[in-house]
Amino acid sequence: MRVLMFGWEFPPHITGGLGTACYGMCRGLLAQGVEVIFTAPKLYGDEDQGVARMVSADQVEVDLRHPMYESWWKNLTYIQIGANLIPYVGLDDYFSLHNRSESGSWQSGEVSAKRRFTFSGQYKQNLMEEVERYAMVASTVASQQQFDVIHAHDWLTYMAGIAAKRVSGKPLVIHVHATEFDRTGENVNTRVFDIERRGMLAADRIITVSNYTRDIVIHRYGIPAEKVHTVYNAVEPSAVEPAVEAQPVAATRAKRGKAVPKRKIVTFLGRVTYQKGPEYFVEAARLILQRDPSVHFVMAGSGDMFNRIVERVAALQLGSHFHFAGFLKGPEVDRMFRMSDVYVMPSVSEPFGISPLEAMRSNVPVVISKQSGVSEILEHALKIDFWDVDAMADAIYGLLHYPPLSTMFRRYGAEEVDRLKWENAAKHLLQVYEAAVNDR
Amino acid sequence: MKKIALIFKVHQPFRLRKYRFFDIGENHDYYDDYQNKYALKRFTEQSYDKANALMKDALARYPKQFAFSFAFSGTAMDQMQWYAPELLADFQALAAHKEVEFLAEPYSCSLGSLISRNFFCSQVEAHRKKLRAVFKKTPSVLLNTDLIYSDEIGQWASEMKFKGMVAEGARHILGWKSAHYLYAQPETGLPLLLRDPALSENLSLRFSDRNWDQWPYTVEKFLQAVDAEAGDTQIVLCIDYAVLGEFQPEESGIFAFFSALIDQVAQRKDYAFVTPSQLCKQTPVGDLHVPTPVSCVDEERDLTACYGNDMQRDAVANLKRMWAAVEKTKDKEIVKDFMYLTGSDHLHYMSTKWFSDTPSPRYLRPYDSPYDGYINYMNVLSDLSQRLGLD
Repeated sequence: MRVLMFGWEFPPHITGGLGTACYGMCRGLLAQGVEVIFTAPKLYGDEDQGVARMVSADQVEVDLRHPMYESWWKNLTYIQIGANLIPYVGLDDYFSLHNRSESGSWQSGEVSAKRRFTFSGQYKQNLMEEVERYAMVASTVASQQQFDVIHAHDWLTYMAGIAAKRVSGKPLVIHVHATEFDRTGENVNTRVFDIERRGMLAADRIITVSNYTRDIVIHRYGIPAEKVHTVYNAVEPSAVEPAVEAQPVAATRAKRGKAVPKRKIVTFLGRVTYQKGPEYFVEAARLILQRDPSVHFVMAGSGDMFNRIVERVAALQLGSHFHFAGFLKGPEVDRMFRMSDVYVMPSVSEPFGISPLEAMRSNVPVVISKQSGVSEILEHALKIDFWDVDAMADAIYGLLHYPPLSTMFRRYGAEEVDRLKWENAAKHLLQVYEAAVNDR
Repeated sequence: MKKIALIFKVHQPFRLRKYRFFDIGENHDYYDDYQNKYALKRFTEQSYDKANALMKDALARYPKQFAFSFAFSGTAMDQMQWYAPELLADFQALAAHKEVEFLAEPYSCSLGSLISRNFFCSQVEAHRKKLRAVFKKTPSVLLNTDLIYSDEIGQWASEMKFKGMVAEGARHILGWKSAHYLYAQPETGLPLLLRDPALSENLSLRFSDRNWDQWPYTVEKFLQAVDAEAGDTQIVLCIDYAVLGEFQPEESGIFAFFSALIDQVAQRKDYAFVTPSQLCKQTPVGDLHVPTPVSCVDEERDLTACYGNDMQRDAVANLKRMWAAVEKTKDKEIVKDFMYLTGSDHLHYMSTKWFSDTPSPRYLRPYDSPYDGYINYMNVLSDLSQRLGLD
């Protein structure tokens, strides 16, 4: 079984969980004997080349004269192609212009039928443009590769998945990691919702990361239930043995001759945006500091609500006990977990939530919101409603002050997470692929 | 007789390096030595060397006539001792003239007056000691950071036995009165020298602004403005010494302006250069009430640039909390670090006011955003507070 997979980011160049999940999936599928061709808008060359065949869309040469692009030409209002073409010129004139410029009889600027597109692979203002150009590149990639099924991750790649399906005739499986409702509550961006729905209708099978998300797909996008399958995300086993690491930190403190008691640290690690509920974390911090002024809180991450949260912390005069570590990458994330006594995920609407699994893997007890996909599969986690800051404060306080509670969660949590392997998730993915292929 | 008092502020803050959350408890090295050295070197080359040369020349040409004063911060003295001893020797040569007066100020240009009385007094006392050690001068007039002044601060200055204090001649405290007279603090009678904001900022802010209606500014225009007011007046000009060459580059003509100013004033019989302490010996014309603090910063002339938003208030609240422990500690390193961290520059970097009147190249505005400034600063404070044994 060979899969043509469309993603948007891949470790180490990530901003959220999507890249991490794709990486885990590729590894899991490899273990099941499935070959993956992984395409992303922009790859940097330092990704793990062993898990999949990497294709970077900005390196793919697209020949716009190919018949597959005819529909793109017919529907110029459907696709915003940007400055690559002259809009008032018909196909024949366009190529005669092109030939003239090639022969040197007429100098012109950027006129080319064969070209590569540049992608940033980020989330900037020209995101829609990149999404559509990615779809164009997907057509070329699909025409050049051999595969059995197409797998597209999240709305950014659905157009690419649809284009690949049209060109190749192979079944399309889309993977819903998050919906517009998760990201923005009720003020959905209609263009994004439109793309999401189109993807869901064009797909042969839909995979969601939790039953929570599956319900949203069925009820808010109007998709028949038989088409939607839940496959839970997993987490890579830790590269470092957590228990061993805890000692060196304590040792260096003693070495310097200072009996500095380790501060109790409560961590939030994620994008500082509406969806992740950072303001609830701040409120819980305020409540706890009233009772125990020695606890320290850390918010690690960046996002559109960052400045507001900093101002809120300052206004509450918590700045001495509430710290901002910035966006953490790779080994810094592990380092942060090793210093943490509690990890909190107060998400307002989380389709899955891999970060608490990463925390548990590092022996950190977690407090998670019930409005998350991961709460469906975890037993050894304290679950609260995201808005219930009193319960959140209560849970955190308990973990900090009642050692047996904390010890129990550390031990059983780590064991539980060990059982959540990508290989198991990949088995389920394979079942969905086979169902999609056999349908035809 | 028109008396001109020139006060030059010499200050270099201890800029912080990027100090992350992970550094807390692990690393007690807070300062960006590279930036600090670079900035001092740059200021020296662009400004201090040439300005000192100008002043030396003036003192030689007009002995007993030309006089001016320095408000030299403790942190500037420290940095010069470490990074530029030849520069310090140059300043010491100037200090050897008795016409060059030195004023007292809080050691690190801190907002001690916001934190507590005894912190403020300890800062001023530390500065006095340093001034005696480095320049062999004993100050008698006080100048607070950003010229922050209020009735209460004036009271403290009087209790510390100062002969006078410099404050901003802001319109909202003067009303119809002119800044060109000597006033007194109501309860104690402490003489108050008021800086003329317009004339000072003509030089520090507007001098090379071609859109200004008085550009190009000349000594004639300056003297015309002073002559326009009849009678015996005093003009207190207080600017950063680095205006000569750094904030106003040499090409703008700023050195030529000062050279000509000194020449013209020295040659006119109805004008004289004076030092602040000489001005304070006169009789004040009346009391000046300043119930809430006034400063020389921005159009508002108040504390909003350094104490206006929640981040700044939180930072100051933390400094207040830590001061109690710092007072008791015997660890000199901690005391020194605390002193440097109370510098008002750190709070200015957290300002969220849109328009600020200072130019901002990297070494003057080391952070991308005020939030970064706040976070970095609070991380450092957190480490210091751990060293103090506070949680």
